[in-house]
Amino acid sequence: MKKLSVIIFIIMIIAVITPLSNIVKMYPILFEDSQKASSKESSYRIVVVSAHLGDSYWDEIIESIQLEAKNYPLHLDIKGSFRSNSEEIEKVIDVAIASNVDGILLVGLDDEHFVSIINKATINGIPVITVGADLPASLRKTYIGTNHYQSGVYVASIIKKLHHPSEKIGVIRGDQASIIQEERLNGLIEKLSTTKHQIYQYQSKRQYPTIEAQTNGLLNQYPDMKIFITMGINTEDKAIKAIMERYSLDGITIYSFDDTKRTRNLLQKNFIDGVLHHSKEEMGRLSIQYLMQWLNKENLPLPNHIYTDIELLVGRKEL
Amino acid sequence: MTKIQKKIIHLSISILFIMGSFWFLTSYLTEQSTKKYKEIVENYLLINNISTLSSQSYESLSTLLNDPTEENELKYYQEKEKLLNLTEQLTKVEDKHNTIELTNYKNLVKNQVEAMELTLQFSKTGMTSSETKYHEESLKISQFIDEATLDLFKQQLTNQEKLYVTMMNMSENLRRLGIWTLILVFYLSLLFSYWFSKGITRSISQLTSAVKEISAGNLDQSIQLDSKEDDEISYLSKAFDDMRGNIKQYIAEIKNKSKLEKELQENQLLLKESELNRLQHQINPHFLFNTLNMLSKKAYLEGANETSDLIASVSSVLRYNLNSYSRTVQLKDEIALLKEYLIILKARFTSRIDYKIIEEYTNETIKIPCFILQPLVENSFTHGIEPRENGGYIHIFIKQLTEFIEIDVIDNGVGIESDRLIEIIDFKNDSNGETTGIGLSNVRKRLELHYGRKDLFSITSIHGIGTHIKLTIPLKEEE
Repeated sequence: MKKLSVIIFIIMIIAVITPLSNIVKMYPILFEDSQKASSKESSYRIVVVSAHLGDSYWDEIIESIQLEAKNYPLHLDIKGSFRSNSEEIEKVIDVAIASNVDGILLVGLDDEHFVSIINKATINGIPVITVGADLPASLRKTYIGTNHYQSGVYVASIIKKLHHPSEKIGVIRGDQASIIQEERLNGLIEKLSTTKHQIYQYQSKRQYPTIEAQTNGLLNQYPDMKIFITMGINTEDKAIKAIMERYSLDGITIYSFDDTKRTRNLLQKNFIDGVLHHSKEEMGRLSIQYLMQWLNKENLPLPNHIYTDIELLVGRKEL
Repeated sequence: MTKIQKKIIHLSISILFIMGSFWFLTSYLTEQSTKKYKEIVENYLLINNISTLSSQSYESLSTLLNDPTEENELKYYQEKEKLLNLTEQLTKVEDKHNTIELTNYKNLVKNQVEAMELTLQFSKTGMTSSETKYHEESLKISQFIDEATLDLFKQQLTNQEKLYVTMMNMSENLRRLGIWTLILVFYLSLLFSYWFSKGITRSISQLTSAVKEISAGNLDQSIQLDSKEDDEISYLSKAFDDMRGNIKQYIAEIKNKSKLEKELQENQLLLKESELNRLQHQINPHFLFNTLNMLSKKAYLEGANETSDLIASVSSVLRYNLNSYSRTVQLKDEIALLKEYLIILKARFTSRIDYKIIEEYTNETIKIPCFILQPLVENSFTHGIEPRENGGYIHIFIKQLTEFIEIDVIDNGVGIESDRLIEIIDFKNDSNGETTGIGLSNVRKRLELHYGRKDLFSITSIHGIGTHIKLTIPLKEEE
């Protein structure tokens, strides 16, 4: 009898102590959370606007921006649009301006519409830096990224080295407007015009024909075309698919202007033969550094542009 | 001494303490939670108010632009000021998660107000294009503020979800704590009551059975309680025990006293008996005494010496009777009386009685009760010798031993039959023959009373042979 009552007593003590200990554990969570002071009181608010959220190419730049930003008292807000919706992007920038942010990084915006809003930001004292794609007509502080015109020249020079002028070269662009692609083309054409290499584009009534249409059109027109240069989002995949409907990829050489996980994968699997490597990590890093330079008012004004390195990565298939 | 009281007080205090601290804990935590909730709700309200005011002030601006009355202007200014004031209060809402968002939010409001002010200015100076531009800007920013409000809310909710969950958890734990504390206290009270009352009832029942023993007459069992505690019940039992001891003592004393009184009474009765008898037979002793003395002298003067001696003996016997009626006399006095008595007897019955006294004692001043020896001899004579035709002899031995005086009275009379023996010992003699009134039973009884022993007197008799009476008188008197 006595033993039983002792056991019951112990059980009850445990039953009482358990919630009590829980309460004691929980108390600091609830009532010490009123720390008002934030550690990064004096951090700058930076908005990073990407025209191609979700696109791994531009996302890599954003990643390196984020990485570099950890070294500085910066708070980054990543905003933008998943499908280059210019209204959305403009609104984002507008909100950022109205919120008096300390700086705006535009990643991959190459639409002329944004010039006015960039100017608005600059007028309001907010520094804007374009990264990866430029709008030189605007009042942006600086551009950091690939010189696309030069990249066209560079790729052309490589092609010149690797291919005989008799080989026809086809260009397949993305299906949307892009200043970058324009510049690349310009560079390509200009360089190749000094030689006898022929470069062809598919002409159609539509300003921006689909990739499939371009590919098929070129193959129809020039069935012996073996060299293709691609640029634009997912252009490679669609082009390859269109080509493979006709014949195998064996004799086909494809060079891509865009350096993404996908294109590198294709390069590794020998679907394509060359990928232009852009120094995205450098772009991201430099953008933060130069932004900080401006915020700290050091070595002003910033240079108009800072071109980052490019390199054509070639696959194993030797020509 | 006040153990019981202390125990109860301790129990009450500990229960009070447990429940009190639980109550205190609950109210404190509840108060803190309420404060926290209030804080959270107030923050939401503040942000909401700012959002509402942002739209409202835009509307009153638009109204003012359309209809520039003083009333409208006042209304606009009031709302604008209120909006700015509320925005200043946003620091209350700040915590480590939302500083950036709040800074952005504050700036949005400031920019809206700035745009609105510019609108008003441009309107007043009549620059309609700029006015329109800033008017649209104000609208745009107020819409931004609406969206930002929603985002802020979402962010706050997410950040505070953990807080909410913890709060729910805490109140649940508090509830469980309450229930178990209640059960525990209940259980403890139960245990305590059981143990406590058991202790008391057991003590009381032990006490009761002990008292029953006492009332049944058994005063020797001391009252012992099992519990070794020094509380009221044990005090009670100690008092009872003392009472028992005292009662026992008193009863013993009373018994003793009454025994003594009884003895005294009996002794007195016996003596009274003797005295009564004596009184009955007496005439004025002094008359007799003096007459006898005179006769003794006369006889002597007339030459009758024997007669004179005889009369002198009678006179001594009479004197003995007159004088000492105290309880104890000296041995020598008793023996002297005996001798005088025997002289008289001899003179009366001459050849029919022969006697011899053999004395072997050293201390003759020993105190013995009076009228011990003479009745014995008288009895021997009356019942033994006198009825015998030829007469007989009486031999009296007085021997001093280490602790006793042995007195043997032996005669060769007719003897006494056993039933008569018993009669004689136990009752007064009948009036068959002459007696001095003190019988054997009297002697025996008085010896018993005096010495407190029953073995001092023995009588044996064989019919036709004789009778032997034996007295053993202790040298030490027992009173």
